[in-house]
Amino acid sequence: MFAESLELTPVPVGAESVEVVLLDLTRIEDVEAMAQDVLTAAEREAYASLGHPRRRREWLGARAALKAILLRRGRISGAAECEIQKDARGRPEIVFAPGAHAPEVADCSISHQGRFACVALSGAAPARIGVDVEAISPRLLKVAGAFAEDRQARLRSRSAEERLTVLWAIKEACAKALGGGIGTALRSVRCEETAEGRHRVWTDLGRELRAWHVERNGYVVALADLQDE
Amino acid sequence: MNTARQLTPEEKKDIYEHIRAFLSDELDVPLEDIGPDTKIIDDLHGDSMIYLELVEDFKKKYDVKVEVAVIGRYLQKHPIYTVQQTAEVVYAIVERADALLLPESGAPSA
Repeated sequence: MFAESLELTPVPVGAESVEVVLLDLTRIEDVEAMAQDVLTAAEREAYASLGHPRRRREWLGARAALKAILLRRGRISGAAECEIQKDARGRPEIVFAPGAHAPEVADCSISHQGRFACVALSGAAPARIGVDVEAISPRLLKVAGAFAEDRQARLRSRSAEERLTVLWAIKEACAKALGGGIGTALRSVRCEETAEGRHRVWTDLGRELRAWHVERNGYVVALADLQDE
Repeated sequence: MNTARQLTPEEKKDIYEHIRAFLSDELDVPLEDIGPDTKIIDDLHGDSMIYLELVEDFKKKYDVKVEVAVIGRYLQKHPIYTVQQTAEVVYAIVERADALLLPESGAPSA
């Protein structure tokens, strides 16, 4: 079964009630076989509409990782007992099959870039969470002027590439917690690193979030949670 | 304050073709595989950063000074998935600039 074979790497980021894992997408040997194993009929339809093979691998890998966590925790007994859908805000949510015992899963979030899919699962309501994984690269230097105008972004001294990647990953994670996609990520946020890898974030919408980040294998993983509703 | 301008059909066509060429180059996808209904993330394996790169590219090309946060608010009401939707947003940014968030009648939006 895919859940036993999938190698998920825990990422120590965020509150204790949130599980965050990385999946190395290059280790999925047979994507189509995994799709048959993991996806419900409705999910297979959505999967079939994705045009790019890497996009298909990412999309599938993230869902496989989430379902594997639920299986390993004993929250479901088969991959078909739940599916990952998008809510009205475009955020992923786990929807359990009718009749399935629906365990307490407060929120989830998905990200992927390059080699990795990253998923986060929260067991503590009412927090909303967002996770983001970004490769540390010089690509962000070209657009730094656009999104790194936050004069009050106080991040500890790092290289410009690392600092920009951390800031962008935190913005994306916050956008996922709030909903609203790239539009939310581009809005102004103030970000203050209060301790190594821990951040307070305020948005121009008046929302306050907690955020964390770690660096792993040339990538930044950021997690944000929104406590107030 | 940036003044609004009206793009000609030729300019809109130029913008659309520039977007196709940009995506082809950045994402290493043949130009003939990129049409108006092509989805940037699902079909071309783009990411959210590519939208920011495109917007910055056009802001420089047309000397438009609109705050990214304003563009962000606009995108929340006008989400973009396809090449044509992206072109429509670029047209709006270039044509309306600072007035991007106002309804086209000129009255403030809620």
